[in-house]
Amino acid sequence: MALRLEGATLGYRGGPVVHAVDLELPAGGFVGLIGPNASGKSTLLKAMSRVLQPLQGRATLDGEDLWRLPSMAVARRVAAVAQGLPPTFPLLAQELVLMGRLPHLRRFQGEGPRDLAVVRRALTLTGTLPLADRSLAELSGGERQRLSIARALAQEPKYLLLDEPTAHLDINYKVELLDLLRRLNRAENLAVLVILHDLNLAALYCDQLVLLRDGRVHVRGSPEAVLLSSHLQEVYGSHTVISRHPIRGVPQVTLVPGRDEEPVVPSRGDGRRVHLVGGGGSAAWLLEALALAGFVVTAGALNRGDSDWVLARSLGLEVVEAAPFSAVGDPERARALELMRAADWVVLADVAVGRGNLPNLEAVRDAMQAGGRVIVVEATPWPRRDFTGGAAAPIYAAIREGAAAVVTDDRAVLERLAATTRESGR
Amino acid sequence: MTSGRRADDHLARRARRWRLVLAVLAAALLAACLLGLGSGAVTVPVGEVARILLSRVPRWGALAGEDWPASHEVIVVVVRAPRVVLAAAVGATLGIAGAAFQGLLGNPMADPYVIGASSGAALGATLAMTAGGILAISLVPAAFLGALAAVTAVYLLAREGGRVPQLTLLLAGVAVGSFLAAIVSGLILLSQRDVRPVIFWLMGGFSGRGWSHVLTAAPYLGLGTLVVLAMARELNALLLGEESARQLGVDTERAKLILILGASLGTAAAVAVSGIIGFVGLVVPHLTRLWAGSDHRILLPASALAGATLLVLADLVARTALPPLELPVGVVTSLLGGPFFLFLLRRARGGLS
Repeated sequence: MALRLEGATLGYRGGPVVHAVDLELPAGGFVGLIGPNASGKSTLLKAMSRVLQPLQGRATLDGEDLWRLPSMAVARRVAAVAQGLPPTFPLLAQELVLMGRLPHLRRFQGEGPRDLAVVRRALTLTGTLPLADRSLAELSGGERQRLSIARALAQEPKYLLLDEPTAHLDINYKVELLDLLRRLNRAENLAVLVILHDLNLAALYCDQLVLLRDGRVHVRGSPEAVLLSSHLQEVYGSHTVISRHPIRGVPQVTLVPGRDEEPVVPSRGDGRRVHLVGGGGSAAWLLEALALAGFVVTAGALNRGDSDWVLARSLGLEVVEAAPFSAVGDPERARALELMRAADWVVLADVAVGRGNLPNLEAVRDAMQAGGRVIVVEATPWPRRDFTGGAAAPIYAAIREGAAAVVTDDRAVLERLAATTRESGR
Repeated sequence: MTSGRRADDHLARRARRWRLVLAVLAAALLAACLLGLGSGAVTVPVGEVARILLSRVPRWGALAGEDWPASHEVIVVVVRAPRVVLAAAVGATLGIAGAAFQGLLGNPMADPYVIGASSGAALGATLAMTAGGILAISLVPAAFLGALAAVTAVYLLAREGGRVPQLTLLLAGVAVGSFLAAIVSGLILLSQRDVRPVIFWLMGGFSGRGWSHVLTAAPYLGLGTLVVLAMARELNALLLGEESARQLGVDTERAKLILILGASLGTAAAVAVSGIIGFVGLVVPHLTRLWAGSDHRILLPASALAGATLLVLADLVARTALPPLELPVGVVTSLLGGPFFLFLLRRARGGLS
């Protein structure tokens, strides 16, 4: 049981805008359609609501061809909320919602008590009951949007399709509306397909996301599988960081603005490997800058939950993990050393060192003694970063002694790496 | 519970309101008809008009008595009745066709002539009167064919890939209308014949119309009106835009075709039998909507009744304003309708702000 497009090619007079797309809204499902402007989202929704007939492929409703079913029969099972209402003749809010009963009534049949009960419920659910006797012309865009949704609910559909239902709404109504849709989805098995621009809302509410690009499905699956920086880079061309919602744990997208400074590494990292040793945010700037510049960045060991750990994970980097608030153990130290030896460069960030992360420092020393090239960032004088009671001092001194460079800020690391690209190549 | 009562209230109130609207408009039409039948060069009292009519009703006729001059009966039944009936039928058709086109095109400035019906009819009639030979058929069928041909042309021109978008239809109607109107002007200018009948016909009126005209036009006027009335719920859905209407299960392309056919048929018949009578199809649905609301289930019948009333009264004014001269009804409706419409527009805007 599903509302489905099978190999649907869709278009208008100018030619196809959606190419051989399979899309399924299973009964009781909650699917989010995301993608940039003009990627074909609204066109797909029109095809599923029997407005636009596929040029190729087909649309089916519970296994039957959508275009062989009577349109009224489809409208009793599939309701859609388009973007906005056209400016029109004066209509009362209640009259708009009553129109949802149209597919349930015969040509000359008036509305009965049951129709009224359904309308009343739709008004109540969408919080629009107090608006019932008002004229649409005097209501705000958000109020009209909620009334349009009430109208769709009055159709008593099994499948509900919404084109950017949150577009004109304040944040409280956005959340209220999506809460309502999910409540109906869970409690009454109403299948919901919703076009959303807001990726974070999509991740919070949808079971499944379909990411579109140029009229094709770029990727689909759970929010965790779809909302990856790499996918968003490919589709939107935007640099993003994916983190976890602090309460729900679903992925959340944070936009990273372009840098104001001139890029210090004009050439790309060419896939050269850099291992970063940081923690507590000391490596944050470098993690991102190096990853952006095209280096293969590894990091660690870092405690799970540490801010550098969160960032490295968000960037999709390989990280050596230690348990939260615990000392770096031998296995982690060995693994970090392995990554350092595989790297072209090891960068020791301006990190504070205590007993817990002292093994990281030892690993850097070992890597250097084995021939590794190390850059030390020393923005803060060492004594103020030493929390080992002096135990780390000789190790740090040895590293500093043998390092290829000691710099005083993060940007210098990039400059240094860029310079070596030109001098020595790989 | 309060919410329940509120919604039930709404329906009950609406039903009461709709009944009131229809009752008041029907009474107004009846009064206008009695007035129209009684007034003119010879005044027949309204009571007498009512009894003359009653005498024609089978079985009840005896109740009327027979104490009026025979000439009055002739004036009422033979001279005035067909005019009044025709005016009412044409007014009802123009009113309902106007409501249909406004709803169909989602445009408050649409009227029955917007998609070329009037200019097509004018061209047909002008050809019939100015050309000789095979084209010299009688005026009414020529106007009718002209109107249908123009509407068909507009409809076909507005088609885009099997669809007829509202805006394209409106623009094609305006373009074709101007084009045909130019041809009509050219024909009149170049004609060697007496073109005054054409010009008088173009101004619209019921002068000299008899029962034969009524019988000729009635089937088309009636059919057009009934077709539009039956499409009330499709028109309601179209208020939400074509996409939403389709999502409510309305086959909008079929609905538009049926509505255009029905409304154009009625309009073509109205133009053919009475010339071009402006403003009725534009003003009547507006006025009716202000009072009865936008739901086409009440708007359509109410517009028909209001249009009928208005045109019966306009014809009355046309016959009696400047005796013995008879004004074209189209002149009366435009002279009175234009300013009144502007007054309403301004008042409505003032009320909103």
